[in-house]
Amino acid sequence: MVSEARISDEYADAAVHRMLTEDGSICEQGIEVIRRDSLIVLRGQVESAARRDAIAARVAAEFPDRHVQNDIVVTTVAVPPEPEVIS
Amino acid sequence: MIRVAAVGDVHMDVDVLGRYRPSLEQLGGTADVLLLAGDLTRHGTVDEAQCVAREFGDLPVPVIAVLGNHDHHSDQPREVTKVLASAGITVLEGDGITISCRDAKLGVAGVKGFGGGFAGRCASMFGEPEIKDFVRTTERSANRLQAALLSLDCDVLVAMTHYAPVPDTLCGEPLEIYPFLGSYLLGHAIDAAPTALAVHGHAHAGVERGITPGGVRVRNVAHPVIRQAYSVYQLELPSASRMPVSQGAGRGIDSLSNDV
Repeated sequence: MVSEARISDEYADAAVHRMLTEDGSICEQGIEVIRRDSLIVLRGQVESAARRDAIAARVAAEFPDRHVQNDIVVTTVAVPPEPEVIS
Repeated sequence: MIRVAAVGDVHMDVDVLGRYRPSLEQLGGTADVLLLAGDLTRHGTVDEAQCVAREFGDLPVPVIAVLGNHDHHSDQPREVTKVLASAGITVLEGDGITISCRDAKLGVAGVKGFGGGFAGRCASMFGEPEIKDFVRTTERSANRLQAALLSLDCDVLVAMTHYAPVPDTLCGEPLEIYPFLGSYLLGHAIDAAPTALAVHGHAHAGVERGITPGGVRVRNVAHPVIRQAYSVYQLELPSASRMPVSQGAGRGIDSLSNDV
């Protein structure tokens, strides 16, 4: 039997994923939201530190009773070391 | 040889303007062309397109792009395309272009593509009109890609899409969303032509390397996947003994074939 709390969690997860995509100030589809007992872990890659911090702030606002651990990284833009040869 | 640089999913906006530029300005020594595999903007606005134009315009190599789903979000793909074109960026959607690269001719055909899933687990033209429209959209896109690929008169042929043509490069993405990440129909189109390389974006949690059922190398160049400003692929020219790539009526060097 699925508990009421579990059903609620799943709906909350769906809402967070949609919010991160549909909120015009966020607009990220590739962020993983992992819920632990008193913790929410965010993973993924974005193009700037400001975008990373905005996501964490938005999720923290949705879950004010939980600590948000922000493991999102900013993707680097270095020159590739060498080409891949495709023959 | 021809050296193809490629990146997708750069999601430009004012907050990241200039990030790529130092690496892009070194492209002249390492690549013959830069391909942008869609999701160039965050919301598909004209302002964001102008950021793309500033970041990726006026480079030492030709720049060719397809749009992605983010670039359609504001329902302004034509306006976005116009801004990019004004910066010298060629935007492909069911058409192709040929470029002279030293002693060889490179052909690039591109479409955004769409979803639908992969062989054995794909949507079919059955049931409600909405499902039929979904499948029909992908079929049309794949047909346009195939026609564009076959129209180009070139030595080396590259296909570019935003959506994935194979499931290989989606490894790491949740299985449940594969039908929203690509379609086997795009792979089928790529295999119908003598394609040397296919690049795509869209799958941020995927992997870089895959291959079509017909043996065409596929590279997922989504920025979160390659984790560098761009990847460079060195394509060897076919030997004289091999069948020529040209099968159709391309319009020649530096030409667009956008009526396929």
